[in-house]
Amino acid sequence: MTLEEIFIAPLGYGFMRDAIFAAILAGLTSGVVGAFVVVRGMSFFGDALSHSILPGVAIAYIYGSGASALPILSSIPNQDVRLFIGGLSAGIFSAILINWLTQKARLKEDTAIGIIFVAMFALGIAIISSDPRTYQRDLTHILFGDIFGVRDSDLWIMLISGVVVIGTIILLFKELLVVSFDAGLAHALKLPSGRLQLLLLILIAVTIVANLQAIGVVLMLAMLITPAATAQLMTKRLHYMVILSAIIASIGGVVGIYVAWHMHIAAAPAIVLVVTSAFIITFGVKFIRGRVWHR
Amino acid sequence: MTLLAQLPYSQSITALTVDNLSAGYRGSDFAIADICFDLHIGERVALIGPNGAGKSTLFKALVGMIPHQTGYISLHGEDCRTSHKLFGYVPQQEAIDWSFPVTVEDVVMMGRVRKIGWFKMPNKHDRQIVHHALEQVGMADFIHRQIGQLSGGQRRRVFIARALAQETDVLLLDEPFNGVDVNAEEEILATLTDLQSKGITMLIATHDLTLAQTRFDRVIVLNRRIIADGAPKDVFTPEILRRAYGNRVGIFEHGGQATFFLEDSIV
Repeated sequence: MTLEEIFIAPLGYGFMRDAIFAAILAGLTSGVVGAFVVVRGMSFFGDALSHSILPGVAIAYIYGSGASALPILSSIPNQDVRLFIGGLSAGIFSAILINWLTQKARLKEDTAIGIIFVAMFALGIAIISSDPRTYQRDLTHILFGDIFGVRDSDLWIMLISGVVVIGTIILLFKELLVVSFDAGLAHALKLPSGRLQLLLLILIAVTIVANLQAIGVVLMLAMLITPAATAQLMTKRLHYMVILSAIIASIGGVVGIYVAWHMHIAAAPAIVLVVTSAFIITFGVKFIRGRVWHR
Repeated sequence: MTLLAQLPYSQSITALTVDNLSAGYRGSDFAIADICFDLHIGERVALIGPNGAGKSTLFKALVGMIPHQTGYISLHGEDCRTSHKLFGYVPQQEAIDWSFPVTVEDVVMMGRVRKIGWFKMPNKHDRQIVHHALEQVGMADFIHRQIGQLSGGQRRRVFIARALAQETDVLLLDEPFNGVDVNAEEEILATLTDLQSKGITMLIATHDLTLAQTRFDRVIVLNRRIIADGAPKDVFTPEILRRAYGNRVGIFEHGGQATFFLEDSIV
């Protein structure tokens, strides 16, 4: 097989070009946001949030149109926008609920996350299963994504969300860095720590919901965590970690698409396995260099 | 009889006023209550007290990490709730994730965040101030190191540089000598002495009674309330220290000089 057959020929298909574009957008956004998720130790929170959006997506999907449509949802003409708003609402609701349980009920954060995460996920599956005609197909679609099926509206949502999320992080980078590294300094500098932390949670929620179509709920965490963790092995500055993470996630996304295409496997797992391979290789190189260096 | 000793010290200009401050909760009571003291410009004051006395709570209340239920804090005569004046704050070592991907320069630049302003990037002037702050604490050669690669004493000096980069003249240092060796302790003390000579005011929490007794001009003893406040010779009495620490305080006398220590700190 020639290089032309491997890389160029698949681009003759429109859905393949869209999938690659979606993988780049998803990689850039989740890579940038993921760097903050990793350095703040929010992996479990990211996983919980990605699962917690399910009931919002399910309600928007089932009750967005047709005979059982809710007026507030059916007034939004585009289904992808309905799914985005539904998922985002559920994500923000979960984030606030976890925060509230931690603060007011004095539960440990991981306990509060565990309770809300499983409850919201179960609620989502229950809502989807209430419509047995679409249960199997739609649940799989939401859980594992369908990057080869992205539509123009999905790409627009990913593009606009990506610009908003990355733009916000660039503009507020130094403040988010302070809040992430030293909450005490943030207070001493009279930065609005609470609002900045909430903003970060919302940016994570937007990223997860926007990339739902491409990656799906279950494997979303890998796109948030693995490229960022790989980047952290390569640099000692958050600035560079953010950039490297975005590059690794995007390239991993594109390579994953090609792997899925040529090996006839599902795209989202292929992407996750590619970025995980990048992590293993980077870790191995660093480990070997460290051992050689210390000899 | 009250053990609160209001003793003479520098009568120069007041940098910090804390009046009737109560903050934090411990059960149904405040973690710290009725706290009153002034710091004068250029003073270096030790804050001592047993574990749980409220030293860190006091610092957190001063910087606004926890709200205060009663009282008033003013910095250079301005109410801290409305003023733009800031404390330089050096937190406890345990409060920081040292594997965080930031260099020494990044850490010190964090002190400049409010001066730089929202939506702006650091400029050449900010970088010069960061470099100068690092020179003041003798850490300029480490500017590109990852913060986690430094020793405990070096990290404290970097955090002091960060406070200096804020261009504030009142520093709050929470246990800066905790977990550092004798050499690092001397380096930090030399840095603090140098800053004091430049008019920087410092409130420093420490567990080390000997250090507080021998290297500070003024000591505040805290155990939820202020037990005593004054010169070491007046504060370091068996009565005052037992009031704060109970029977954990030991006394070592040599050449007519009494040195106090905590019995459970002996190894």
